[in-house]
Amino acid sequence: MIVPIFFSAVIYASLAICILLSYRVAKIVNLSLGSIYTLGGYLSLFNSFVSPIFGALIGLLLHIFTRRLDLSRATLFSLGLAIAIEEFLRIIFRAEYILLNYSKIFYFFNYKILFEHFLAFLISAAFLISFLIFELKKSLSKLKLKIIEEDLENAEIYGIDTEKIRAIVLIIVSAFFCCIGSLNLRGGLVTPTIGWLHLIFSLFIATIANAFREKAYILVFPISLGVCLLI
Amino acid sequence: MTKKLGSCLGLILGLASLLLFCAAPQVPTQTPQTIPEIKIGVLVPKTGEFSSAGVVMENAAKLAEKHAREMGYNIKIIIHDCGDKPEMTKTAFLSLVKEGVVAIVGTYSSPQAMMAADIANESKVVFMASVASADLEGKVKGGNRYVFRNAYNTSYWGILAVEFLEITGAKSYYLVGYEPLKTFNLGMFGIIKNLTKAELRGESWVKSPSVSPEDYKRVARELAKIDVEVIVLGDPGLGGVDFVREYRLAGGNATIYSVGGMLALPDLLKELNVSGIAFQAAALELKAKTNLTKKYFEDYRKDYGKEANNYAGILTYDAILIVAQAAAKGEDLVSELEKGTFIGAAGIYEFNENHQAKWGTEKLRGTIGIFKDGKIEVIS
Repeated sequence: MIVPIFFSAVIYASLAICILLSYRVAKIVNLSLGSIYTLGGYLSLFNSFVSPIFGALIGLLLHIFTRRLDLSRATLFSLGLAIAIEEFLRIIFRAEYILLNYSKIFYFFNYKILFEHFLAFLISAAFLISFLIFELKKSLSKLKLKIIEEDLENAEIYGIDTEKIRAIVLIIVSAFFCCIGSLNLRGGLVTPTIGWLHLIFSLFIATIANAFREKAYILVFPISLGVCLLI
Repeated sequence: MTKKLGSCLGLILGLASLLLFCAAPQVPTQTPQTIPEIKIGVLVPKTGEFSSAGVVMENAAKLAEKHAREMGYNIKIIIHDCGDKPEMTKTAFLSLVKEGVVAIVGTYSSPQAMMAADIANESKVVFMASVASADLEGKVKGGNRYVFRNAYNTSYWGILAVEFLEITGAKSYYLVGYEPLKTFNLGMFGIIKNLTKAELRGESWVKSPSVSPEDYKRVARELAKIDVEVIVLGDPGLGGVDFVREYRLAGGNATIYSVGGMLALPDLLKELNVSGIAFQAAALELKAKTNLTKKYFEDYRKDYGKEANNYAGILTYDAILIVAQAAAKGEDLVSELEKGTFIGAAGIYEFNENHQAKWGTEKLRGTIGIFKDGKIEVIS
């Protein structure tokens, strides 16, 4: 039982990091991520590889429309965007659900898993490890990120290009959600609202982690593992 | 002089034609506009936990309106979102009452149906529960004459599951419930435990996906280790597919008897292509109950490009047709429903003294199917 829980914990920890980054750096509770996750699932009907591109485009769009908005208005806009994506999927696919097929079954020691789910785990693990290294290493980029997290106006006074960093964060986060959605939803039924379930769960983990302030990113994985084990 | 004469003649002719027109007997024309319109409210969970069922209910309701009009009933349906909570159901019910509907059909979960039943009694508007299996008979016994149910009650769900266990000669079974539908699942499990001779090997519950999106994995993997012949899976909604896949991946080989949910859809089962999944449906296209059965399945496919739902969809469709047939008689709707016989796609409906459709009779009974070796077999 520990293997599937570990796999889920890694995936949800990486999704929670994305939510934290959106909130702390881009100053937005990004509610469109659930629909972007769903969009990834639907895009996998054509090709999973296109999903990060679509995700990135939506992230860029979100940045453009919310860059002059405060937290509450930007969050509201992201909710509107989420509903728009949902409706778009309803109009295009006209079906209450679609069964997404998988390519093959993968053997991880004695544990059988869908290949796409294993790929989602690998990508999430790579993202998580890279981010942890970035977080633990002292670098100028990390310092810039911390300053933006602490105070946006201060960051601008220090000459940090906050808009550029915000755009990068929203693009990466959206592309990642779309990519994981396109892999993790394979093998099951998708509906235009299915991404909300995954967003709410990741948001729950992110909220707990956020309470630990500067240690939030480092503690995301243990929190995710704990939540997955308990719930 | 000639001009004056012409004007006088014109005036006389005009007056004469006016008089002739007024005196002409009016030919009664029975246009569709003159048939009194029957407004029927439909409560559909467009948002929330059961929104995927809401889509099929809404589609089926629209199809029922179309078919009822073809049958000569001038009905108009008004669809409102009842979400997944009783409070939202109450608001939606009351706003439909304000719009002047003669009856309201629908809702999904048991708590929603119970709330709708209470509001029906207060507002004196008939409520026909087309999906939920809550104890609505208790409400009728308590004096609420405005609540009816054309769907199964909890007992009949249990009876069908027991029938399946008996037909297959299963010696052991395991119960898997779905927490968002706990009231219904608990009631049904109680019936199964009481009526079957097969040995119960255990009971597990899958949490709501909004609490734990992958809880089905835990339950499926635990179950795969247990030696059991049949798993009775209480309506798991969309999660049923994930459950089955995970269970088979973990090496489980028991027959899965799905109580409703997506696993009851023949097309989906063919697409999923996992053998040993049994299900029950209010009706199947393979086994026509009335002349409306085939029409429902064919027209749904034609209009919506998808296989028709054979429980929440078909029963919402039937509920609208039942109300249309009863209301068209023009008498007191409650009395008409109590004494009448109504045709639907799932069979011929009659209601007992507790306003529950008489499921299990020759005219109205559920169908059990099983997906095996790439095709659906009707086993009961």
